[in-house]
Amino acid sequence: MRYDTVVIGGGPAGLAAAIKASENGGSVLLIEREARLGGILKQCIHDGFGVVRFGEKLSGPEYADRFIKELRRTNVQVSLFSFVTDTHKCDDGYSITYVCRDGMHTVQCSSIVLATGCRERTRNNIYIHGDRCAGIYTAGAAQNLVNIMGVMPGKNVVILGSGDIGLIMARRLTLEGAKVLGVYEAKSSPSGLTRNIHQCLRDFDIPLYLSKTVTRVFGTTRLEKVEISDVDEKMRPLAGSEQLVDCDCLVLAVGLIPENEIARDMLVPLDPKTKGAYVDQNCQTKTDGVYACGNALHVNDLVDYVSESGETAGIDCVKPAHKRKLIQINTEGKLLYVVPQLLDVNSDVSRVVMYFRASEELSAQRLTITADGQTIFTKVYNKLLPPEMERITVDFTQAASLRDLTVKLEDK
Amino acid sequence: MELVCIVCPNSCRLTVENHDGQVSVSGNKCKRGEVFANSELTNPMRSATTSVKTTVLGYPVVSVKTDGEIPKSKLFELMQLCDEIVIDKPLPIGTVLVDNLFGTKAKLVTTTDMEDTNE
Amino acid sequence: MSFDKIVKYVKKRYGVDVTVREDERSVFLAGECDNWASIVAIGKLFVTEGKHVVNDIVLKGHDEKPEYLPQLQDNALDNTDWDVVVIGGGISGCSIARELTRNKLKVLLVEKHSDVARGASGANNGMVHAGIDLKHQCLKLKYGVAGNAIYGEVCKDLGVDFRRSGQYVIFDSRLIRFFAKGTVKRAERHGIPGVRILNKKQIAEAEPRVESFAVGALYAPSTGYVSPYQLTIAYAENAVQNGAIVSLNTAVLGLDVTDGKIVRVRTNRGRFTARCVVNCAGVFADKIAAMAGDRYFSIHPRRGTDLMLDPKAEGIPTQTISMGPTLKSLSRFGKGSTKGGGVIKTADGNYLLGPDAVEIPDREDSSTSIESMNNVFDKHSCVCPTLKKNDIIAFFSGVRAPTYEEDFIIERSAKVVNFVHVAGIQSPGITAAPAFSKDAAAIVVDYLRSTGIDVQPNERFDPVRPRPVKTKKLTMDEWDKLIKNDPDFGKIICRCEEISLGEIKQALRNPLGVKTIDGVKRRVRAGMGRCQGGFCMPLITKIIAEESACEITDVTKDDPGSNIAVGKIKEV
Repeated sequence: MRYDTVVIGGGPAGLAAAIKASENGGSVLLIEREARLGGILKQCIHDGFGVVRFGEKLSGPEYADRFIKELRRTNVQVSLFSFVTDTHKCDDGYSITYVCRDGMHTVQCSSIVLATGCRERTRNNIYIHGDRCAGIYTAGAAQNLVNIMGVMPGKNVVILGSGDIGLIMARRLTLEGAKVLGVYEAKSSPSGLTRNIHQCLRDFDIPLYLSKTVTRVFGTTRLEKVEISDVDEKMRPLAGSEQLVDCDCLVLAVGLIPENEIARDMLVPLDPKTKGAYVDQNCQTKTDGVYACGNALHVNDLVDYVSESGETAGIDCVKPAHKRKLIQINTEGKLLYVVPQLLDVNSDVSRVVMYFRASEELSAQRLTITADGQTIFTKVYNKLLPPEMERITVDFTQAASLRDLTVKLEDK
Repeated sequence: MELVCIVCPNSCRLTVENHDGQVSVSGNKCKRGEVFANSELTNPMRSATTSVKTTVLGYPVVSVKTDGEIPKSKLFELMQLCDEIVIDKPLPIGTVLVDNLFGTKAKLVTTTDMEDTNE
Repeated sequence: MSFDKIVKYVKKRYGVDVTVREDERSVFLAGECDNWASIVAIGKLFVTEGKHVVNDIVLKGHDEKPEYLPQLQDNALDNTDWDVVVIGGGISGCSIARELTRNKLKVLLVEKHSDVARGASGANNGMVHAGIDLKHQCLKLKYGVAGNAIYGEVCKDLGVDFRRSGQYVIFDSRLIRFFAKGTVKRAERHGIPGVRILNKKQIAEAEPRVESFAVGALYAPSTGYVSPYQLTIAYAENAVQNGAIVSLNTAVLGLDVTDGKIVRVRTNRGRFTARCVVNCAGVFADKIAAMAGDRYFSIHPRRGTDLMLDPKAEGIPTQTISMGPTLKSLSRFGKGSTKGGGVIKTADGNYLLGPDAVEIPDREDSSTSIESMNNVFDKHSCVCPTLKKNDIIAFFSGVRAPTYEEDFIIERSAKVVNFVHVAGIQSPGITAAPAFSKDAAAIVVDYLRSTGIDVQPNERFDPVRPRPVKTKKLTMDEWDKLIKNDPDFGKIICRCEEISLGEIKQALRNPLGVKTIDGVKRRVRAGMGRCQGGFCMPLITKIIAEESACEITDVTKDDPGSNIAVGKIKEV
């Protein structure tokens, strides 16, 4: 079989990419590992999804459902329970092999969209030592246990990490009758959206402890207690500050990492800052015909933007290939990262959507984009927080020359 | 008084001032912030999401939400209400399980399409 | 040195008053000390030719953590009679049980945990040692060299992956090279094949990543790598295939001895008789010996930590590289208590750094710590100077069970006639097990025959344990055929290690009846990858519940009580 494009991953990014690719006339195969489409949204039963796109507060499954229904109206072929085992370049495009319940399949395509999402950092990633007992779960695993399997991961819960998923799990477990003893955060400021601090913690009097982390866990069979330590400004535990907290469950919401095993196998260059691929404004990686979108590209905090990047990839991946000319977009100042990292000056540069995060909490900042010294975009921000991603649309056609592109963040 | 608007992910930081019963709100990027601040001062309202049990294969639980806001003080009552419900057949997304929650116009509706089963 | 002199020295050096008592087999030490490392050091001072040390010096102010004992209480084994009872489901117990099933014998293996390979056998780097650093005339050397020689054959029979890819001990000075020549001669004498010294050019060909700092290397081609827990499991499964019974969650609580003979074994699952009892209790071997009034050696728990490295980290040698002695540490050569270590490429293709060796007072404390992680890194990262701490992706510890004499004990008790000790099995225990298990089984059979029992060979003994299907190792056509036959092999559950539902179900239908999350992990690696089970653990929990027809809330990570969930929602 041959398709114009194969989308790998049926979460919000992959759904959006497949729909757009099909609407733009491409033949599309969508490969999904699990039994149902929707990716992680299936277990994100809380609301707040789709405010930007639909102007409504949808729950995760509802948000996914809108795209799934739309997908069903297209000609996209969907292969569920399917796992990609090999991807390689062939004469006119790519060859993809996947395994599913009826055997091994190999298909050819002109372009690939990687929409493989992200994974959670584990206890090992943050060096939590001690015993190997049950009751220590990543927030996503805990969320799956509660929201999909209908079981409780613990009764007395310590949550490490104040990212959105940690805050949402604090509320969810509290509502289901668990005692959340506290949310601990190694940074000196919370990582999640401010509104979640309010509606998930304050509403339920769940304490938030900053500059503290879990350093050790104890338990023979199930978790019995955790050791909490204060940390210094570099997040290193301070000896002598240890205190023990009795609990039967530790939920780790300590960060997400884009899942890029396929990209790695295909030698697609990855950005060490985002842990995703380097892409141009059309979400095409440095490897021609290979696209990356959603959380596989960089970890987003709003699903609306995940879908947006999926659509960007979906529209472009079925266009006739052209010779790209990629210009690097440099960054200056306290920027954690900017996506896209590249500009293809041989395609449309008039409405380039860019996402960025500040590397620390900042106030009164000015973002400036220059091309060969000429300022083509500027915006002032009263407040910038690393957890809150910013989105801008930039018209690069105003630039006299598209050499030496720089995004700069500085004090106003 | 400082409040954080929870209506959308913008998390606007609201400043609420009460001048002899006349409430003024600033810091909101949209009108909904003003409505939120007023309600928060008098009768805080929340929309809620949780799940109910089912006997349908592949769905030990199914997600539900209030399709409007209910008083914040009724959240745990809502949870008790949900504990009593057991769904025994696949329902399409958006099926109303309970009407007029706590005297509001809000309904309890399913948010997962149980007909989409593959197992 | 006479004991009196040592006692005086101990008083002066450690400030401890040691009382010494001797009998024909052992030197017994008593006293009090407030430092565990000192207690172990004192014990070692009293090691003399032909005698064991029993060190009863008490660590002041230390309450030993109570031993893990299963909660389970039933009569499953009550009033049963066995020819041989093997205590302990580590590599020793499992391999001996398997070797015993070559004979028509009623063999019972009891293990207090919910799976085999739960102690040191499941938490080491899986190196099958060549034996280049072993002393003359010790059991470690005898069985280490003999075990290594038959490893390929044993692993083939038992369906376990084994890779004989050699080991490089590098040195950074020419003087050491001179000493290494002695090691080569000794290896020849000990029958270790192919050991030779490589020059700088030869090293560069074998492993360019150490070229910059290695002036030479000792190369031992017979060093190999195995998954130590998969081998232990395979031995246990083959034992069961051939008629042995493995009773898990079964702890020995007492041994009733009458007239110098064990007449009854008491457990939490009933009391039963045994014609012969084999003590393979690892770190508890001395405590089991004591139950029969036969304590003539001490086990001092020694913890080793290994770090797993990100295979994508820069500069990791693709071969196993140990750092040889440096000029400063010359005295360590051939005497150290860790057998090399360094960067090791495991049988599964992962890279481990380690181990270290820390004496600890608690026998079951296999917890890891920041200190041990840092120590291992500092000690071994010299073989890979580009390595960063960030490259550590996982870590684990195991508690070894050495005696003070630092050699294996494989013998029938001099005091209790039907009691065989297989104790002090530490590195290179994994290497040696295929060899010593045969001798230990022979000791049992010889004893039973000496009592007039006619032990017949088991004609139906099948040494082959079917190799579990690994879809990852199949060609596309083979995998496709397998799926056509059973669609479960086409459904990937663990995305990181690419493990299918079929492989997980196969693991859950294991002859030992282990149905736990970690049991699946040990058998097929599901959950061992980069997400550490974050994605697949809930799925595997569900599969286990379905396979064992139990509630999801009954599924455990490992031992009873380690339930994944504490209850259903709405009901907690």
